[in-house]
Amino acid sequence: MADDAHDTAKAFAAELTETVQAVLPKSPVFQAMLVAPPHILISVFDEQQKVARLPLFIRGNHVADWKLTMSVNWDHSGSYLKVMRSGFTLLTHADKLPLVRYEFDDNMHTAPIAHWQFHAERGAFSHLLGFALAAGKNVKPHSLSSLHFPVGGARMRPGVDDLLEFLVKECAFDTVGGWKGAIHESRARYRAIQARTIARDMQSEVADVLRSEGWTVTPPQDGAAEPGEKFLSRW
Amino acid sequence: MAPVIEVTREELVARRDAILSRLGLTLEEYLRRASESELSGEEWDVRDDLDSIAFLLNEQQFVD
Repeated sequence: MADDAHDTAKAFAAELTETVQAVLPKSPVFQAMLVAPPHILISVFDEQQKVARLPLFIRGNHVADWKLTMSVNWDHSGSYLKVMRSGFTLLTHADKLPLVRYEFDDNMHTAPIAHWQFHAERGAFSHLLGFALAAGKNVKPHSLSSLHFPVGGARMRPGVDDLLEFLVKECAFDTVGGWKGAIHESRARYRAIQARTIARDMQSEVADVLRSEGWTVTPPQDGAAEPGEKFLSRW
Repeated sequence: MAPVIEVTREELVARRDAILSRLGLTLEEYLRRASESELSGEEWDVRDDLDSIAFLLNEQQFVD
């Protein structure tokens, strides 16, 4: 296994550990699972190397769990690790079905690239979908979780910081002192990366904005790259 | 706990076979049940493992 893949995966897992442990109490260490040629899975693994549940507490009582996985690989240039898929699941101890899931899959072709799914029941929604089923549409009225709620595609999707803040602010799970700062730092890192990637995808648009703000911007001799079709078109 | 776990393709395939054997399903049956939103709690419990193994094996078919 290439040393650079090993070291980069290790650093990726360490950064995630640092963020999560600074927000949620008793959070374990994230690890990287590697197989050659390099495909890398970042998560927490149990003794059987299964994806582990991570504990969530309210007033010190362990009342729920969550799971987080990030599947990463080298980008096409081979210069940096790119998150290809990620998954967040919130679970209770009442049963093994998820409560909610957030998922990202950069290669998704049908459902939204980034989406939430809710494992819940709503009779009126099922009733509504029943009309579509009767009309021959491909829907599953019995399963609200079959619906994928889009959240902005690959570039506008929530980061780990948003998922952590959801657990803290919306679900009211216990935190570690100073958690706000950790989330702020994580979010700033993530969004700066996303902003740079959007700028690369939308060079002419970015250049226009910079000119309007007083910058002098000179296009490359071979012309600006075409707008990122994937960014503009994928949901 | 080691920060990096190196696994082989053979280990991943064996792990997936063991998971599916416990459920009494083939991979195709599992994926079909998932696509029809018919997974039980026990089947959901291994979903992240099966998806992760598929990614590590560079396969393209994932759950849901």
